[in-house]
Amino acid sequence: MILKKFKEVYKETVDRIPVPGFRTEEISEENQKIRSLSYRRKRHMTAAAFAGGIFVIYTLGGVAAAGYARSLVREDESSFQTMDMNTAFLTEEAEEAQMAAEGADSEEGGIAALAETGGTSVETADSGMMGRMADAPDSAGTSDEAVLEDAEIAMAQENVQLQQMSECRKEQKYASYETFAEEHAIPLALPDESLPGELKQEEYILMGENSLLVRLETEESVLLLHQSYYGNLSGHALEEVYPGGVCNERTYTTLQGFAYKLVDSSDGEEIHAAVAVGDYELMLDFYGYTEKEIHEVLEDMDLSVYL
Amino acid sequence: MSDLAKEEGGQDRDALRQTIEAYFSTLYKIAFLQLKSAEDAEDVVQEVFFRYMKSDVVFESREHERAWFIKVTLNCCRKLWRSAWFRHRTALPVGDDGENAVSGEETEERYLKDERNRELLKAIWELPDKYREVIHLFYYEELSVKEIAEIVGKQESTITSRLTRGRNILKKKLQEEYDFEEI
Repeated sequence: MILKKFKEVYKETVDRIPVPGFRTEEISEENQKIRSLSYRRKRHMTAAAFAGGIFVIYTLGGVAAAGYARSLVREDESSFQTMDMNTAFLTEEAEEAQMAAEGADSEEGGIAALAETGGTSVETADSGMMGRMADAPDSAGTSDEAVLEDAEIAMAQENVQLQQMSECRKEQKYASYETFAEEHAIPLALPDESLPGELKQEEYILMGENSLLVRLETEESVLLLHQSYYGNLSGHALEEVYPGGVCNERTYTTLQGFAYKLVDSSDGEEIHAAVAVGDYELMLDFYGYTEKEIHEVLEDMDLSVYL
Repeated sequence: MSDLAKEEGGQDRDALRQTIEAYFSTLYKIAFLQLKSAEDAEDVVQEVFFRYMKSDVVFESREHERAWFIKVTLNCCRKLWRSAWFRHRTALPVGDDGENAVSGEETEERYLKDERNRELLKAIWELPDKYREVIHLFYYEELSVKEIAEIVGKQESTITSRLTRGRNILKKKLQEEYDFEEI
């Protein structure tokens, strides 16, 4: 039996990939900035339900805060985390036990970090024709690499399963609140009058049963709202990670008595807010908003719809 | 005349056009196979050419130039992989053009309907990223193990190992048997 050569078949398959047209004029500073903004927006349209990580929401302060939330909101240097009270309690206990077991010696036996660096050093040629990325020491043993390769196979298989899961979650999109509300009786606190400018575009994306993404865009600003519902779950935990890190954490309590956690992105381009109310958690991303405008929006959102 | 104006600190516009024509297809296909998205692939390739435009890199040879572009493309793909958004996005939908179908996606849909293409591409896309890239560089770009090692920044033994593991996975996944011309 004569086997087909994989190389020939693979080349034929790749040759048939359609390639779009391209113009040199598309390479420009302006297009680069637009792409960067687009990626930032896309990052915050992710479905937290796909994360598989743990969100812990831990609310601080506010006399009214203790009464309305069944989750905790917590922030660290790069993320918001939310989780139900039980999970938070168990997690804190486990963390304390682990710290006690590890003791003060945290330097011993660290696994060599073979994760690749940011990859921006590729253009500098320090030795040889191309220079080398500082992603793995040449002295890494073969057995370590073999273990890592096996872990990568397992991760790839997990990614396939996650993709299959995500394909099972139906995504329903709506271009207006009216069309969304016609089909779904889901409480949603939206700002009515406080957006800085005229609303140019809105989008509502319902993912599965518990996750809703909303995008409200004016001429110069974008508001992304991610609403998660946990009333039908016995426990939950999610983490929203902001690449680049966050800083300047603070709390803003509205006149209604709901306390939001706010942080700035480290590059100063965005402000993120999080709040837990009843069985719902909201994560908001503000682009092109001043602090004052954000406060106005938060005041305008009637969170009592979630109680 | 204005086409010959040099960008500040960067490449000649006319030379840029020629370079884009020479490499766009190659780099687009590398990015498309890594990222499984036409839109992302286009963005990555734009990013690569933007970096080239802004750089002062002078190539020693054609091989050096090609390797540079491939390496930067793979790095840009990796940066995208690491982003939270990319980790959570769904793979390129096959046969589902959704509301946002544009002419490029419709063309891809017809292409993907071809059963053998679909099966092979699916198997390739299910490979771990690092196996997928070496398989592509070896079988499509016809680079040697040494050249791939330089581009990817790994030892040659690692590249050989990744090729072997990638082939083994493909053999299991593909219904049709192929001669992989193993080295």
